[in-house]
Amino acid sequence: MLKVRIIPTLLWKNHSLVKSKKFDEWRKVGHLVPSVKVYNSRNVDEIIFLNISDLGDNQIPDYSLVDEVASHCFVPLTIGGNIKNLYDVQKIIERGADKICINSILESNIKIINDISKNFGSQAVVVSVDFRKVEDDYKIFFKGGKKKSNINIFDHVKKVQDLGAGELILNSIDNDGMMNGYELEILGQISKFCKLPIIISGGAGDYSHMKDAIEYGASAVSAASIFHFTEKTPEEAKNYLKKNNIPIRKSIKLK
Amino acid sequence: MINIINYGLNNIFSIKNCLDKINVKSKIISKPEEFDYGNKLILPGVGSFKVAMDKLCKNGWVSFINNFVKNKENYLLGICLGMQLLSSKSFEDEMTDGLNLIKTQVKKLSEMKCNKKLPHVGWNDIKMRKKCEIFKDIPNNLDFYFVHSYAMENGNFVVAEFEYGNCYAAAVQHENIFGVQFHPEKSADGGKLILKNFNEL
Repeated sequence: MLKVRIIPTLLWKNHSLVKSKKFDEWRKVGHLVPSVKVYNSRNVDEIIFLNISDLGDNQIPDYSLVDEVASHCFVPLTIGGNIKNLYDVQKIIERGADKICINSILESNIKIINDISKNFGSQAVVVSVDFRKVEDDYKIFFKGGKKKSNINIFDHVKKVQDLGAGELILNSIDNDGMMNGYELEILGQISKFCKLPIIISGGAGDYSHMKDAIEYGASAVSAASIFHFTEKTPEEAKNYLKKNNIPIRKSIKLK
Repeated sequence: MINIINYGLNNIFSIKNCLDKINVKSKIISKPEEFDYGNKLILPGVGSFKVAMDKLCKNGWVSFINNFVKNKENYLLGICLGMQLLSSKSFEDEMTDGLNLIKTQVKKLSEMKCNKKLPHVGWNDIKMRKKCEIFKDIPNNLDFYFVHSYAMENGNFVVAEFEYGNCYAAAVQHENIFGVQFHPEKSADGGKLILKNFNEL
C-alpha cells in the first residue's frame, strides 16, 4: 500500500532560507545544508526546495543550490523556482532532483506541462497551485503570489491535469504561515474530481491539521512553519498519524 | 569498490552520492574500458527500455556485462529500469530483447492485472519471499521508494514483492545477479543498507 507522505518545504530567497506569512513578511530560518541534513535524519518522506528569489525574467535557476540540496538528500527531492524550459528541467534532474515544481511559467506557457511530462514522465511534473480567495471566488496567483490572475482554481486544476501533470501542490496563500490549519474546503472539492495526488500546503500548525487534510483527500502534507518555529518534528507527526490509523512509511536507522 | 555504468540515461549522481554517504568507494564508468578494479557493478536506469538497450548495445556494454557475470565472484545489481533490463524481453512500446540474464518478461503493470493509477510512484512496503543477502537486516514490510509503470513477470527468482492492486516483483536474484525495482538511493536508511549489503557481498 502506498503511504501518506510528510514533506517539509524549504524556501530560498536572496541567499537564505526563509519562511513567510501569506507569501509575505519573510523571516530567515536557518541554513540550507544543516536543514536538509536534519530533515533526512528525521525521517521525512520527501523534500521540496523552492527558490523564490526574484531573479527577473531572463535569469536561469541557480543550479549550484540544487547540488547543495541534492548531495545531502536521500529521499525524493522536488526542486522549483524560475524554471522556464526543458533545458532547465533537464539540468535540475541531472543534478539529483526527482521532480520539478512549476507555477509562474504556466501563465505564459501552460503547455510546458505536456512537454515535461512527455520527456521526463508525468511523475516528474509537480504543479504548484497558488491560490487565494478573491471576493466569492478562488483565483490562481503567479510569481510567488504577486501576480493575480482571473483563472478560477477548479478550471486551472482540470487543465493542469489534462495536460499531464503528475502531482499538485495545493498552496493556500491566505493560510500560509498562519498555522491555523489547511484550506480543507477547497481541498475536499478538488479531491472529488482530481485524480492526481495532492500535496496540501499552507497552514499546518498542529499534527491534527495533517490528519484533517488526509481525511479530506490529500496524499501528502507539506509543512514549514510548524517545523521551523515549534518543537514539533516530522517524526512525531508520523507517530501521531500512525496512532490515527493513517498509513505512514516504516523506516529504520542505519547504525 | 563499485563501478556504476553510465550509458547516458540515468540519474547516476544520486547513486554515487548515496554510496559516498555510506563510505563505499565507487566510480562512474562511461565505457567498458573504464572499468576499475573490484567485483561489483551497478546498472542504473531511468527512461525507456528500448532506448536503454540501444545504448547498451552500441557502447559494448552487453558483452561486457555478460562476461562480467560469468565469473561467479562478481556481482551485478540492476536498479529500476536497470533491473528490468536483466530480463529476456520487454513489451514497453515495442518488443525489445533484454540482457537475458533473468528468464522473464517485462510488461506494463496494467497488463498484469493492476487497475490502479500509473506510474506506481511513492513509498510502498515490500514483502520478503526468499532469503537474499542484499536484504540482510532489512525488516519485513519496510517501505521503499518506487517510480515505474512496468515490472517483471513473476518467477522463482523473485525474492521480494510489493502490492499495488496485485503483487509484483520488487526484488530479484539469480545467482550473482540482483535487481531492485525501487530506488535504494532515494529510500533513506533502508536503501542505504541494501547498497551497503551489496558492497559487502
